Amino acid sequence: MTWLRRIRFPLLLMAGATLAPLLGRAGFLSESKWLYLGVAVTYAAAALSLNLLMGYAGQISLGHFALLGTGALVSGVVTSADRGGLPFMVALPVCAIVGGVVAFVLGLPALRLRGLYLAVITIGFAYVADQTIFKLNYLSHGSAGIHLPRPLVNTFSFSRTSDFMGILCVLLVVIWQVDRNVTRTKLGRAFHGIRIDESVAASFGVDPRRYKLLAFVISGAMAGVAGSMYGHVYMFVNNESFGFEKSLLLVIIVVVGGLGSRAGVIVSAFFYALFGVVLTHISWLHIFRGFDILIGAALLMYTVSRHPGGLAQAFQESRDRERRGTPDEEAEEPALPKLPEMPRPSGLPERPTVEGLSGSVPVLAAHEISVRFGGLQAVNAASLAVPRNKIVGLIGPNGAGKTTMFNAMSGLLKPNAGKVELLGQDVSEMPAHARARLGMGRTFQLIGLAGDLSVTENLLLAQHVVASYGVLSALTQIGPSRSVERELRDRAAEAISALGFERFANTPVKRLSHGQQRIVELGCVLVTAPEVVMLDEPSAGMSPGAAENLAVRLRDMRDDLGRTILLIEHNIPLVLDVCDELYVLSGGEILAHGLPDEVVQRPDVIAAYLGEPAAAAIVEAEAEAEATPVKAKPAPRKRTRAGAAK
Amino acid sequence: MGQVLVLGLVYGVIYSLFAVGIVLVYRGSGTINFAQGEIGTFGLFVAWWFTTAHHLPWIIGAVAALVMAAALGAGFEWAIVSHMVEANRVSVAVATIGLLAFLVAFEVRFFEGGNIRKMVAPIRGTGWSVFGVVVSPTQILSLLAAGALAAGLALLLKKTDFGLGVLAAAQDPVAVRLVGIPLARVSAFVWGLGAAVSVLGALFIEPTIGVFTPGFASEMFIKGLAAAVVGGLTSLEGAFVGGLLIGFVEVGANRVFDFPGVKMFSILFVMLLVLLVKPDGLMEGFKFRRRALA
Amino acid sequence: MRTNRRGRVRACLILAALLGVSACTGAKLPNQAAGKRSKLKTTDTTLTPAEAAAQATTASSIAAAQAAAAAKGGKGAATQAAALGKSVASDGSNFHSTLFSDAEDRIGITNNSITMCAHAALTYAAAFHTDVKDLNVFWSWVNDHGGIYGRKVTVTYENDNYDPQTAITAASTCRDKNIFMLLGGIGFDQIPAVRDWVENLTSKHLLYLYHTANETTGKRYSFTELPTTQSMGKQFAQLAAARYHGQAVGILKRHSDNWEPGVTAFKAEARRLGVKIVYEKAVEKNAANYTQELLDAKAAGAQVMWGWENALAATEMVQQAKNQSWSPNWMLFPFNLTSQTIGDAALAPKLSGLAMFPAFSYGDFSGEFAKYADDMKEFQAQYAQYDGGNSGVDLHSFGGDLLFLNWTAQKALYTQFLACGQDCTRNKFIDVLHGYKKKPISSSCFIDFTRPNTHLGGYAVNVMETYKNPSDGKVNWRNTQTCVETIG
Repeated sequence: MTWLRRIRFPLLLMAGATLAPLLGRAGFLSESKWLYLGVAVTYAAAALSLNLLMGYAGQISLGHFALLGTGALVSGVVTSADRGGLPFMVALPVCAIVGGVVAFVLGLPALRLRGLYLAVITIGFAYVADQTIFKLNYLSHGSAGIHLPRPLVNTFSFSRTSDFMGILCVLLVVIWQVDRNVTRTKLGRAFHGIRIDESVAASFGVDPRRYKLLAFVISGAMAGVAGSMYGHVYMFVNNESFGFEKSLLLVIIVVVGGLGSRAGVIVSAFFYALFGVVLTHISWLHIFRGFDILIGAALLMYTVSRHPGGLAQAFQESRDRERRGTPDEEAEEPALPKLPEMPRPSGLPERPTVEGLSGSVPVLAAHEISVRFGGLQAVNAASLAVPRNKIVGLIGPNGAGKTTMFNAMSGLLKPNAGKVELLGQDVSEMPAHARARLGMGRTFQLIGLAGDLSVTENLLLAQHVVASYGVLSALTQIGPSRSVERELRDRAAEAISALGFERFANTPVKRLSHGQQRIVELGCVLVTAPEVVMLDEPSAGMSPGAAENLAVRLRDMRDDLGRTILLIEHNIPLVLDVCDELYVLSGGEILAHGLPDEVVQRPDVIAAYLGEPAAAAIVEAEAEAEATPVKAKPAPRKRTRAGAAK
Repeated sequence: MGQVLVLGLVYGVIYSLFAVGIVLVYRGSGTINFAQGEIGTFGLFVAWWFTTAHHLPWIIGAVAALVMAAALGAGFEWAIVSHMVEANRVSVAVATIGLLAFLVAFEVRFFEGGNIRKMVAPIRGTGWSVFGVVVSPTQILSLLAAGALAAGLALLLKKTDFGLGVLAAAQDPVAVRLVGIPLARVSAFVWGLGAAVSVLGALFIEPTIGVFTPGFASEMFIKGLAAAVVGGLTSLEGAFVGGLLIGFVEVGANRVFDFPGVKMFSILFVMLLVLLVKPDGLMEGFKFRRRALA
Repeated sequence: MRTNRRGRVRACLILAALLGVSACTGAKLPNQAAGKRSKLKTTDTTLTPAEAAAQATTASSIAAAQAAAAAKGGKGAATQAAALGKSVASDGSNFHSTLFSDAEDRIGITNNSITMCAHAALTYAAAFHTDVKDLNVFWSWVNDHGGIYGRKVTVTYENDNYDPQTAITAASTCRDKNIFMLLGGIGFDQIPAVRDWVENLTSKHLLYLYHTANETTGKRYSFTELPTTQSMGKQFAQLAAARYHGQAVGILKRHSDNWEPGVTAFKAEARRLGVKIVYEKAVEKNAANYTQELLDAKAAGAQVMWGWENALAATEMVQQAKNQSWSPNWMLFPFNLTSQTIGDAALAPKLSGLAMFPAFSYGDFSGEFAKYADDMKEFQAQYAQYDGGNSGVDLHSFGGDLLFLNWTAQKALYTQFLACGQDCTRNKFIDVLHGYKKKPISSSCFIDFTRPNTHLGGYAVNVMETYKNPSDGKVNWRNTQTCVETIG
């Protein structure tokens, strides 16, 4: 019966689409009440559009109503008798396209950067739209405004709002479906990944800029359609119709409804669209007039700080409580998982074929990498090479620049100097996601997974590079997207069963233990059969027993799966156990290189590790600090800002 | 030309003040306080209550407004932002949108918001003519105050441990903690100071405009936001330079072009241009040199 | 939330007034649009003497009661109103409107009630001491004095939030209340929205009386008794020529196609009269900062500035010019809001203004005020009676002139209902409006719907200047000429 629960809302809307005209004709509710309801439906459509951007991709638009305005005015030009004179149904796709194009133009400069730039640009757009663009004579007769006729089919005009409600509800269902298609394909997963952590998403081959822009474009297209609905339900718009405060109200609606929750957002849209009306129409509520914004704003602040999941989450939680009574029991460690043996999936770019690749050319090589942060030389002319089918360790005291080196090699950070080669190909100019596509897989010091996605969904996200279908196919579920998604799911299921994680397949990753998360992370890295696997302190936070298991797994990877591994580790016994070669990084420079047992005997290496008690103290302090994730994710932020600035 | 310079300077300084507040919060908390402009307006209501309504000297109203704003900013930090340490920075920005909506609705509902109000100027008198523009004593004072603020902030932020903590808070919270500065204090400080600086801007620009209503400082705040972005969003020097640039662009474009909404259009245009060409802001190179010295 | 909110608030200032002004709109001939005119035809029918007598009698009896109530106000404008009703009725109209079908004709009027509804920005009404109860003082008085032919008048208000979209939902809510007519408040942005909505209804049509807006064609159901923006622009040019002869004019105008027709008319008339325009610049709504434009106008040699903007913007303009030590002669929309905010500085030199409503300055009945002093006294007395005390509105402050213009508009509407008679219907109401030709209606100016090529009844304006009210020391506006069509 889960399918029924999932489809309930569209069903409700379809029922609305059928019943509204009948009820309206039967005299149920007056025309103005239907108008309020119609407006509420358009708000719901607008809220879905903003939800896609804010809830999925984690970006914020503060001028979303200006995008609606674009749709409404274009719809006016297309349909009004004195200009286009074309049917409403023709206007809709045009509005979607124009909305998408406007979003593209705005998003292009804003989304190159991480942060709140889109918010700033969209505020600017809201003002410019009102003062300049929407006053263009062709669009809106200057500020005089335009009449948008209701659709006309043969001789039947949808002049009754209850009749028009039918169309509005169907359109809302279409938007809902498109939105749903987003969430169940690689698009939704990529958006989600970007929102959680751009670096992690990039390590799975997601291009954060491209997908942020894509989210805004799809959102803009939806807003265009919602704008057309908005215009035709009122039948009149001018440049004043899309004020900044409406955009802010939309933000309130989406946040209070629950970021990322379709149903919650729609309920919230209806609530806010009708709340003010109720306040004014129930006489004893008169004293509260003007309170709607006040209450809404207070609710927004409360929700966003205390219940980030909004209404939707609150309902979900209470439902969960009811059903289970108790929270999940602590998940058990699965017994000795096997790492999945995954063949290289189809759909990946051609491997570079270099003569003698398997022999002398290392799978991954860094040449003279230097990274400077302001005055600090983090990495100084460091070189290393990872030969095929070997496990290479990279150790060094904390602050030695190991992770910086990793970031430079995986493309999250652009080094000030130096060159990175993958399979003999110079990838220095490639962004992280492109390197991931070529077969560079990596993990993170802090778990590099999307915590509130399930194990299965993380494994699907990890297969982003092989989800080779187009955006349109994803949005419409026509074409290759369905079959490709099926393949991805099969593959994820296979990986899960190899890991022995069947019972956790649908468990959000954040509910798993740390060690389990590490295993899932490894599974995610391996699921696309990368050429080289870069592991950043995989044993961190593991029990000694689990760390031993890890050693077994790593050797399996090398010996059974034929993988090549670059490993950052603090756990020296583990390193000595598994590594074929060892590099020691200290103060940003390669201090030593050689066979593990030999290297760790060298006095300078020992001094680097133990010679400075102060350093040791800092190590401790920092480790402690990192154990409690109190901060605005400093490390990823630094990484991506530098990476995005390229 | 002279007129453009003088007017650009007079308005640009105000935008700078707003931009400084934005940068402070961005440095300290990694987010933008969209309610900052409206806190400025709210401060005007407070100052008005003391001065125009109860005939107390300007300075008392101004101090009351500044204290109120600092309390409001820090209080918001305490009540909302501090509960969102782990949250996405976008969510915190969304919370400030809640505060913005709340303040406007509050002013309108409880402060007879529809009334036009008039604040007194800190210094009376017509002023002096510069390039044909009469510059009022208040405007001179705003220039001086901005200079003093810049110098004071430079001293505080660059010379004291706490200040360095503020500058590093969003980028490297661990380091801040390591030198023994509580992040919560840094956060409360930037939110309070940012809000107070906005009130300063609102108090100085009101006599130039003549009257105020709810929402008064918000459009100026938008221009301050543009200034902060042009300056790189993290650079205090950039905020001042950006503010002046936005001031000149606004006045200059209004002089050269004549189409509807020319001021906002030109500001958005410049902002987009800077983001495309120099995404880290005009002051990027400068900033790095400074940090290298530190 | 920012500009728009601000705009809303600014607009609210004017809006309280609107409600009434909207009522002071009048009927208009249905438009020229082909095929629509057929709805309305001219006949020779005039009111029968019996009808006229009935009206006159009833009106007199009401007037008697009214006169008693308003004894302090001397003769009582009500008497005057009744007389007017009588004279109009006996004049008769040559029009016989068939705009409304039989089913629609009597909506909103029963044997004991007349229901009307207005859309206006109520969100912030409480903010400036103006509440719905302040707006309905006149109707309370009427209902306490027998109503209109025994019918109680109910006027409800729907919030349009100063936003075109909300205005449409407000109008729609009004329509569902089965109202006799829909009244439209001030708002160059909402009125076109509601006008378009009213005209495009396919059933259950409305009679829509609205406040000043730009003149358009193609209207059937919407009417205004107030001068259009075009008409006012022309009159402002005449004012410049008459009062500031030979001086160069600068224009600061709202950038909006709803305002622009006024500027076009101004320029045409200025050219005809030889008024030199040396500066013209469009500004955005709520631009707040006009210093640069003012300096440019000054540099261009402007001696007279025409501020074609709302009251708040105009206040800012005058203030900012003063900040620049520049005091040109200003021509503005005359609201006490502006003059009281600027204070004594608004007297040096005096500001000039043109308005479709009369000036109001509390307790001053001298000079031009004497022409409608009875109305002012009646107004003050009614507010003292129905809206006095601590919770009442302060007529000395800048709510006073707004409420007075609201009141005069309501009174004009009342007079028209008296003339419409015992068996008033929507069509008859339109006929009555056509009966008014250049006849003043209490303190509202005359209307005239008989001119060709227009659906408008309003042409006359009041010419005003600022002065100091000797009784309370407030700087207010007063008429220098009352209800003139051409200023010269």
